[in-house]
Formats: sequence, structure tokens, C-alpha cells
Amino acid sequence: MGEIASWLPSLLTGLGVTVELTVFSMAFGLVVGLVLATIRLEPRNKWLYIPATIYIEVIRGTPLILQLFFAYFALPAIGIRLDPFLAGILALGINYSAYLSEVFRSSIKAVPHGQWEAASSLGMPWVLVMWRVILPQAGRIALPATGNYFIALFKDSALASTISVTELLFSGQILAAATFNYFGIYAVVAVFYLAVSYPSSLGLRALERRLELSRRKARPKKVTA
Amino acid sequence: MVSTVDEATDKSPLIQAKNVVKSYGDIPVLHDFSLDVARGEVVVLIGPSGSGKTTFIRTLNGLETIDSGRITINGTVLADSGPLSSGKPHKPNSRSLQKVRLDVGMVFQQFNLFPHLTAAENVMEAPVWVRKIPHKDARKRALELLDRMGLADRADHYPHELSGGQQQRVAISRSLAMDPVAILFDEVTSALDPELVGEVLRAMRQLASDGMTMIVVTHEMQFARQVADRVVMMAGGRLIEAGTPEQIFASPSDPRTAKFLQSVVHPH
Ligand SMILES: Nc1ncnc2c1ncn2[C@@H]1O[C@H](COP(=O)(O)OP(=O)(O)OP(=O)(O)O)[C@@H](O)[C@H]1O
Ligand SMILES: [Mg+2]
Repeated sequence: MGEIASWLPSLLTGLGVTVELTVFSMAFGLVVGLVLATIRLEPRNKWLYIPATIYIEVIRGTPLILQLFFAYFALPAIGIRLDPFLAGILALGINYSAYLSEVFRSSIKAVPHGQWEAASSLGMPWVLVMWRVILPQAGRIALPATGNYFIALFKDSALASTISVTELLFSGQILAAATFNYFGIYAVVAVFYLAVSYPSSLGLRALERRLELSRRKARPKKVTA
Repeated sequence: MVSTVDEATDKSPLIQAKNVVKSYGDIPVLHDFSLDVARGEVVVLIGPSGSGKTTFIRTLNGLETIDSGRITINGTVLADSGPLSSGKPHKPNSRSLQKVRLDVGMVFQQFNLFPHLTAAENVMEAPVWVRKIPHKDARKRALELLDRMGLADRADHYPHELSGGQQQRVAISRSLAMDPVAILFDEVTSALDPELVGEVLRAMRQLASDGMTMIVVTHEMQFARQVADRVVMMAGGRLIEAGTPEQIFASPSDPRTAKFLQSVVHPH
């Protein structure tokens, strides 16, 4: 038991880095994914549509670990030197943006066309229609898949250990190399991953239920006059 | 170049469509269609399925572009072009489009309420975000409008908690909240159970008697008879004839009108 306690400080620090890596990469993926999805709603706008499509196909057609290597080992060759953590966020964020953009695009398209028509016939400009009418509905449609990607990203962030980001897995590897207690250490590392991913997936499911439109009920009347 | 604003005089028709031509690909849908609607007038558009009624009223708030012709609404030129030369549909500029959409409301067959917002929020959405009316004032107005539509107790319900007839009355309130100069109705009772049609038609009758300018596409001939100032018969993308309800229903001058009325009154 004492042995486990001695691992905790560095594993907890590693978990912190894993969470940061996940949150920043996810934020990046969400923003870029949304921009890509929006661009790809309008195929007639070739100058944006084609580059966005190439980006998505290249990213989805190559391994994530290669993208990490690219960001960390290859970019310095063209003068871009990133520290491991930043390179990790960049590679993970770009990778997930490609997948998320497809989720967002299909979710936006799943919102009935009548919603666009009703909102624009009220004089709402495109940005307002998108922001106030389409995205709140598309967001609900996208939530389950996005949540799954979020948890997948949390686990995929372990790949950043290959470019020497001292996240959870890499912290475990360092301890294991020093103590040779592979079984004990990797078991604890596994428990750490589970301790975040399982509650997260429960939380996401609860959020989905909460946001479900058919469960929404009229708010009780306020008794103020 | 298209001028954005015409001198709007009270004498000129509120809605003016002149020689409108539109095709979907090779299929012509509107042939040289012209119609003027005066302020306060209620025009009912009738005609067989596929005659272009929906297409026409959608051109009036820019949901459809036209190939050629001229559409002016409340002094704003929405579309203006000579005979088609480039083969490109005429696209209105975004400022006149925006102005026309603020001027002209539209109510749809499928209601198209925003499902994530309550009835009152549906009505308030555009006033708050487009007209920048303070939330409190917008809500007060929304409640008044909903009350007028007999929905005072439904204001805080979500669309899925409302019947079709109630949803359609919310949609009418939502359109009214922008203070449009005219409202377009496209078969707004067709998706309703028969017993809910009456409440929506009642609301529309009320609007008409309040002086709202309305273009109504409907198969409800009773409504046309009682409410329309003018009935316009369309077929094959053309205006076949137009006249008072008495003229059209009692003595249609075109055999196609007579045949159509026959089919509506005695279906099958
Ligand atoms: N988006 C579209 N693409 C291609 N053709 C279309 C499209 N919308 C309508 N049309 C065609 O245009 C013609 C006119 O259709 P429109 O919907 O205006 O008729 P309508 O008079 O409203 O008919 P209904 O009474 O059935 O609603 C029809 O032949 C229809 O098939
Ligand atoms: Mg129609």
C-alpha cells in the first residue's frame, strides 16, 4: 500500500496533464470542427469547401500517432518548434476537429429545412439563424456522438506519451522503468483513466437526457402579478 | 443596377409582382405571373396541385429567387430584371431581402415552430434578436399576441406540448410580433386534424378584419368565400382569372376554374 502511495504524486500530476491535454484539444477540435462543418454546408463555395474537404480526408486517412510525430518531430524542419504539450494539443485537436466536423455537419443537416425558412422569414440574418435556431437543435443531435469522441480523446491523449508529454501514461512508464512493478503501476494507471472516463460517460448521458426536447415541460407559472 | 428603394406612396400596391418567370431546371413553374395586392387586401390563391401557388408566395419573401420579372414590396424592390439573358436566377441583394423579410411574415403548412423554445419564446425570438427590443417588453407583447390568439395559458409550453392548431396559432403570433405589413399563408390548415382547422381559420379571419394584408393559399373555399377580397385562380403557373369571391364561385369565366371548384367541392 505504501508503495502505491509513493506513486500517487507523479501519477496525479500526470492525470492533471492528461485532463488538460484533453480539454484543450477538445476545445480546439470543437471550434475548428464547427468552422469546418459550416464551410462544408455550402459546396458551391469552392474556395473554402475544397480545402476543408482535403483537410478532413487527409486527417481521417492518416494515423493519429503519425500526426503527433509530424507536429513534434517534423515541424521543426520547417522552423516550427513546439514544446511537447503544445504539439500534443495541436495534433490531437486537429485530428478530432476532422471527426467532429462530420458529426456537426450531419447534425446541422438533420435540422429540418423549415427551421431555416421560418427563422429567415422573420428577418433573422444567417448568423442569428445559425446561432439561435439551428445550433441549439443540432447541438442536441450531436451531443451523444460528441460525448463519445470526448471520451475517446481522453484515452487517445495517452498517445502523446510518444512525444514525451508527461501525461498519465508516460508518468506511469517513468515509474515502471524505475521500479519494474509494471503490473502494479499500469493497473493503477488504468484505474485512474477509468476514474475519469466512467463518470464522464455517465454525466454525458445524464446531460443528454436533461436536454432532450420531449422531456421539456412548461415551467410552473410564476405567481407574481 | 437595381435600386433598393422605390418611392412608396400609399396609392401604389403594397405587393407588386410583374411578369414573374421561374423554372426549376427545365420545368417552368411560373409563366409571366403578375399580381398586385393593395394595402389591407385579402387575396386568396386557389388552384390545382402543382400550379405554382407555393412557389409564387415564396418568391414574395425571397425564399425562392425568380428568373425574371419584378417584385416590389412596400417600396422595396426585391427583384428586378429584364428578360432572362444570362440564364442565372436573379438574386436579391441582402439589404432589400432583409427589409422585405421584416415587412412580410410567413406562416407555413408545417408550423415550423422552434422546438427548443416555449410558445412565448418563439414569439419573442425575432423581436429580441432582430429588432433588439428589451426582453421584458418583448415578452409582454408576446403574451398579448398569444392572448389574442386564445393561447394565454399556453405561453410557457413547448411546441411538443401543444396541439397542431395551437402550434399554428403560435406561428401566427410569431409572425405578428414583427409587425409585418403583410402575411403570407401557405395551406396553413392542411396539416391539421379537421377539428382543429376552425380555430386557425378563426384567428385568420380576425386578422383580416383587423386590416392585415394577407395572401392566403388554401383549399378552404368557405374561408375564401367569406374573407377574401379577391380570389385568384392559378393553373400551370399562370393566372387564370381573378375576381371577387362571388364572381369566381358563382360564375367562373374559365372552364378550368369551374372544373377545379367542382373537384374541391366534390372531391373524388
Ligand atoms: N424545389 C423544387 N424543385 C423542383 N421542382 C419543384 C420544386 N418545388 C416545386 N417544384 C415544382 O413546381 C411546380 C409548382 O409547385 P408548387 O409547390 O408551387 O405548387 P402548388 O400550387 O403549391 O401545389 P400544392 O397545391 O400541391 O401545394 C410543381 O410542378 C412542383 O413539382
Ligand atoms: Mg403548395
